[in-house]
Amino acid sequence: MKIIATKEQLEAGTQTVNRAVSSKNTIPALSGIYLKTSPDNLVLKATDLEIGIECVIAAQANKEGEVVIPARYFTEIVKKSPDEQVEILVEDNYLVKISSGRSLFQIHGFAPHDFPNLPQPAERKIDWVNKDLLKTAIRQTIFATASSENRPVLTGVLYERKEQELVTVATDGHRLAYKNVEVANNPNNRNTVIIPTKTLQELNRLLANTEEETVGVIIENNQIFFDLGNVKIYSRLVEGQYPNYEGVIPKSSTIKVKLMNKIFADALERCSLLAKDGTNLVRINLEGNKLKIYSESPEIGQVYEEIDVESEGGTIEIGFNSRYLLEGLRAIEEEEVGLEMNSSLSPATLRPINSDNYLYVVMPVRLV
Amino acid sequence: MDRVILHCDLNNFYASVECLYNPEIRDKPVAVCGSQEDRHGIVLAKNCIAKKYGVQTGETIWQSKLKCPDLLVVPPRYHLYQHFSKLTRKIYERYTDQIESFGIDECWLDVTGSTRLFGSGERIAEEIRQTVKRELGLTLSIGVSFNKIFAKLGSDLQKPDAVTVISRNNYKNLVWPLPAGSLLYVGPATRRRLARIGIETIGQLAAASPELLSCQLGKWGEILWAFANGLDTSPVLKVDFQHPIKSIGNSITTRVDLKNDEEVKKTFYVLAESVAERLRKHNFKGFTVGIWVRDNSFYSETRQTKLESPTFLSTEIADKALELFKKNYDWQKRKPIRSLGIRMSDLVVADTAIQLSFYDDVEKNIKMESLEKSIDKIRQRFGSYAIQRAILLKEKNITKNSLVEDVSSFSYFR
Repeated sequence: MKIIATKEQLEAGTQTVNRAVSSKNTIPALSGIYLKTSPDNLVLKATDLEIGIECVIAAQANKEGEVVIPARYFTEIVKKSPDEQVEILVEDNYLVKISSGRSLFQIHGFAPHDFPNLPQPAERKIDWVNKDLLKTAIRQTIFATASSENRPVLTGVLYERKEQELVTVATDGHRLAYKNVEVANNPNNRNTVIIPTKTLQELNRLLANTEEETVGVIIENNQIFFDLGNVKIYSRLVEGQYPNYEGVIPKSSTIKVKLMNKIFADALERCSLLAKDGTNLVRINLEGNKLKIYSESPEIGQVYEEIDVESEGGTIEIGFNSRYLLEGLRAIEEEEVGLEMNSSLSPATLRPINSDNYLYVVMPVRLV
Repeated sequence: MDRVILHCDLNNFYASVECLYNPEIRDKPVAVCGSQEDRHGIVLAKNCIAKKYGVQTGETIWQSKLKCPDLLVVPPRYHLYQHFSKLTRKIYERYTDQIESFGIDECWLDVTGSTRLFGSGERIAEEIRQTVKRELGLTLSIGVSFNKIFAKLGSDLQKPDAVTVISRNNYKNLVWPLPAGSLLYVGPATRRRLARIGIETIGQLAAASPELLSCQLGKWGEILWAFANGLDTSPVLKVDFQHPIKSIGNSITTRVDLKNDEEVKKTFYVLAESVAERLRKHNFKGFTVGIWVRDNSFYSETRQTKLESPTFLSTEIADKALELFKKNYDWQKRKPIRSLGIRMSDLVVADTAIQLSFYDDVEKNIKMESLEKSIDKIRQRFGSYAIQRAILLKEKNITKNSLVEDVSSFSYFR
């Protein structure tokens, strides 16, 4: 079997699937990239059995065939090829000859039947979602997922497909991000699943490169599939019951503050210079239309800032982890942000002033 | 210049103190033993006469009585031992300010700086031995050497009432022929591993290649190799050094084996109350709850889990311990339980700012915190039985005085 492709196409293909290559060495073939030819294109696949990525590129082949090539070497060889064109020749016992210009590599490949079959989702279940909306829904929530495995469901993002909207939620128990976007009406695709953070990171990365307007989503048998045209992503879902996030979102707030996102974020950034360890504690003191921010580090010193805000509902002294606040502010794109609070021991909410579709709830730090 | 380090070991400490208080038993075989009723019926210490009969520390009372039918068994009186331990330290303090305790009856002393005033290490050791004997009536075995490990080894070589010097000139003759197990930190498991590669003596350990030892024992391989070659450099701590507390724990052997969750729950409450009270006393909260379970075949295991937020509340600790227990202990397959323990680690100062989580019921926690603090005060004034949980009112199986407290902070290396 002989394959001829441009370096550019091959490089794009290997880079795309490379992130799904298994870093563990349980099944040797999983450390490779699977190649399958058809008359005028080439399919590349990689999987670690948690996530799988498939990519179709333009290439010519003299006949149909398949092979698995060790990913570490294949991607580097392609990247460093001297010529615009790369030729891959597969001989007996999966000896792979990769030539470009006057360079020739001979690499020992794996038998393709050792490579697991990626599932074939049912096309009829496909749900087309606008790419940019999906990207925003991921970007504004993914950072709030839990990094520890204490509660496995919190390591993923909740993905709720309702009839006319898509809700994504992430929380680590200390803060919660909620996003709600309107999508095309599709009563047949209602679904609630938890998607692993890693899968969404890869999806986000690949969404940035795709030219398609919409992304196909299929949820089936505890797996999720994303169809990005030439690229397809397969992933296992996180099993388990996501906690009742609605119970965490405050129903009402007595104290409401309107502030400028960038001004508040910049002040917090400066104050957090002295709040580096542990809970990154900053104290916030609201008095009328002045919001005062303090932080201190016993050995180093202290910092004090004041910003002008609009507020109603009285005064409050409350502590926060500055990192949690900053991540929430960064997720909100709007210039004006609402900060709503009830007491120094109950959850506070950040939200864009002119929209109801994003919420960031954060628990305060209990002050001494 | 070489350091001069003494290791002072009080001979048969508990038994010696008991003999001081009851001179009439001095000439008889004596063993200090735990209470059989509370199922602590093992030998904690014995005097020289009992030793001659072959009575060993750690064996059960009936085993000892088989060897020595006339054995006099006396209960332990820890406050007395504490008292005498302090008195001997006071004597050590006449010679140096670098005194590090190793258990209740052993201390290392660094007297390098005192040799000009009091003479050589051997001379100081001799003086301490005589002073302790004259003033307190207790005998000491003292090892004198140029590092802590050899000093400790020296104090084991001659017992009772003796001074042994291990110098750079004689350590190869004195130390190297000894079995590897006499070295501090070579326990049964390490000894077996060493024996597997043909190392039986300290000399063979010293001659082995450190690389081979690391292969077999990990990082401890090189450490033990250094110990065997007299290269230990760990310092003797200053008198007033306080080890930072890393964890606070408690364990108990119940009078009767525990056979169901309800009995385990009651026991956990007793343990958790004590742990929580001590956390509050030291102004700590803990993140990690650990349990230790030993069944009646003496098989034991530990499990631990992390809380969302740190706590010093007994209810929270007990509930988490029970949850952990239920998840891991299958009564169908497992035996009844003899001993239980709870340990809190990942400690933080109690009154630091704490990140709250959605799972916390903050208002309730604050109320519970002041409730438990009030209970502490009531118990301080009126005794620990003045206020009890209802669940423990009629409990006879678990007695608070059989709790074994354990504050862990010790590590040979810092």
